[in-house]
Parts: sequence; C-alpha cells; structure tokens
Amino acid sequence: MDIIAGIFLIIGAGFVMLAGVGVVRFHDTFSRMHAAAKAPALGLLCIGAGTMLSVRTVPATVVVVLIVVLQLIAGPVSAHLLGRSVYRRARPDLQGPDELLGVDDEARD
Amino acid sequence: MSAIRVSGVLLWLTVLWVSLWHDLSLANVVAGLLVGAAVLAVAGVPRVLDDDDAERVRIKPLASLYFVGFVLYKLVEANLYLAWEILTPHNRINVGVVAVPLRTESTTAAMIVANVITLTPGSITIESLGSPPTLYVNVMHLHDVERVRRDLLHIEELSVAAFGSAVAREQLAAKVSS
Amino acid sequence: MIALIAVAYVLLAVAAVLFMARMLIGPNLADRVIAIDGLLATILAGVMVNAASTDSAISLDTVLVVALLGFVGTGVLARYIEQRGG
Repeated sequence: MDIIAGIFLIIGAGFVMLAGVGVVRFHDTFSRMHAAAKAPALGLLCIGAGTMLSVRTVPATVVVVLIVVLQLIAGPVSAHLLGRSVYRRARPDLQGPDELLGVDDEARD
Repeated sequence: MSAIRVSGVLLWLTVLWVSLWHDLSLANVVAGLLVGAAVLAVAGVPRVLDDDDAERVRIKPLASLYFVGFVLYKLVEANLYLAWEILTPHNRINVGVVAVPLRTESTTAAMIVANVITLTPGSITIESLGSPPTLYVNVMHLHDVERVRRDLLHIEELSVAAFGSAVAREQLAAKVSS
Repeated sequence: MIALIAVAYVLLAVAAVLFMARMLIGPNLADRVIAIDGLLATILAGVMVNAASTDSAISLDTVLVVALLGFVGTGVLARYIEQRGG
C-alpha cells in the first residue's frame, strides 16, 4: 500500500513540475496562466490521494479531502480573476478571434 | 432555514473541528459543537444562491456521478494535453476569446460551469456579463470557434442535468428544443 | 518507499526552481503572480509529501491555511493589477 501511495506522490509531483515547465516555456501570459491553473490542481489531487493512502487516519483523510476540494474550486477562481485583470489592463495581442472586444465597457463594473 | 440544513452544517463543522485537532475525545466534540454554534450564530447559515422552492437545486445521483467523472476525465486530459504541448516542438497556439451564451438564469449553474470550463483542456473563463450570463472564455488552441462553443455549451447541459433546479431544467429544455 | 519519496522531492525541487525563474524573469506583474501561485502550490505539495513520509498528519493543517491565504492573496494581487496596471 505504501508503494501505491509513493507512486501517487510521484505522479502528483510530476504534474506540479509540468506546471513549472509550462510556466517557463510558454511565450504568452495567457498560456502560462493555463499551465499554472490546471496542472497544480491535478497534481495536488494526486499528492492528496497519496498522502491519504499513506497516513491512514480519519482526521487526515478529512483534512486532505478539504484541501483538494479547496484547491479545485479556488484554483480556477484565482486563474479567472487574474485572466480578467490581465485582459482589462494589458490586453495582450491575441492571435485568434476576440469576441469580447466590442462589448460595452460600462457594463463591466 | 430548515432544521435539517442547520443541523447538517453544524455536524460538518464539528467533524471539521475534531479533524483539525486529530483527537476524537468527548471534550473535542463538545468544543466543536459550541464553536460551530457560535460561528453559525455570528455568520448565519450558508444559503445556496437561488433558494426559493422552485429554484432549489435538485441533485440527480446518476447524472451527478457522470458529471464528476466527466470533470475528472477532462482534468486529466487537460494536463496530458499540456504535457504534449510542452514536449512537442511545433506550436499550434492560437489564443483567442470565445463568447458562450448560457441558457439558464441560475447563478449556481453559471458558477459551476465557469469553474469546470477552467479545468477543461485549453480554456479559462475570463469574464461573465449580463443575465442570463454570457461567459467569455479564453481558449489556447482556437481553430474552430463553433466547435469550441458547442463543447462548452455541452458542459452546461451536463451540469444542469446533474445539479439544476426545476426552473433551470425547464429553461434549458425550452432553449434546446427551439 | 524512501526512494519514491526522494524522487517526488526532486521533482518538486525542479518545479520550485522553474517557478522562481519565471518570477525573476517574467516581464510583467501578472507573470510573477502566476509564478508565485505555482510556487505556493509547490510548497503545499512539499508539505503533503512530508506528511506522507513521516506519517504525521499534524502538518496538514498548515497546508489548509496556506492554501486559503494564497487564494486570497492572488485575488488581491489580481485586483491590484486591474487598478494600477502590470
């Protein structure tokens, strides 16, 4: 059982490292946001599973479940907040079509 | 503010308190109940946003299970896609913004859909305007706008099937059939 | 088991170095905020791996608090970017 937990830990740590590589390698602010929002969420999910399997007490399981649910909900929300402010402020050059461009500016606040 | 909901929340708070102390003893349980009651008295019982009788969320168990499985699958697929994108040299990144007009007025549904969109491969919700809310989604590989829009609206259909209130389901059925 | 934990720690260390690199380079403030968010996630992961390796669950409470504070902090920084520019 400990070996399974260890494998989960490695997979989770691998996903977090994937986030790091993505954040360094992408050339665009928005793409980096994609990497930093999704990969740590899944990485923490896997590491949480590994921790749960390794420390087999009920209080630890409750806390780990709480942490994972928090990260799955709060992670995308902070990515959304960042994306919104970057879009309003910096308006980086998007290569593709932009359907938010002409929308009323006063409706935003 | 039904008694079931209040006692359910109080029970959850007590479980949380005892878990954070890592020690299941009578003193901890009693302390947890007291602290939980104090927190509820000060902050009020949490309500889901749409709280009328017709707008209360109805959870269908099978659809919810499918939804949770779908979200987890999409999350894993998102990260594998990310890994592929990082490791292969050719660059198909074409960042754009897609408007996704939702069809139900429910704020809970909009919240869940926006969150799940951020967890699915290559998309982040960056803005939500109007009522019924229109989500604006930043997409990393934008080569076919209509297909992306349809995929994201499909997420909305799944989430309303799993968690939607009666009003939301009616609205969705009306819009889909029209 | 020790070897598996060591591999996990090495991966997390590489992730931390990469996030710090982006934090130092990143041309505007938003990139740095993203890097700090990732760094926080790496710290959370590290503490959880430690809890798994020493079989002590006490340190998991730290993870909960850091996660909450990190989320609030990122929200505040996002608001700052919106009002003062990156």
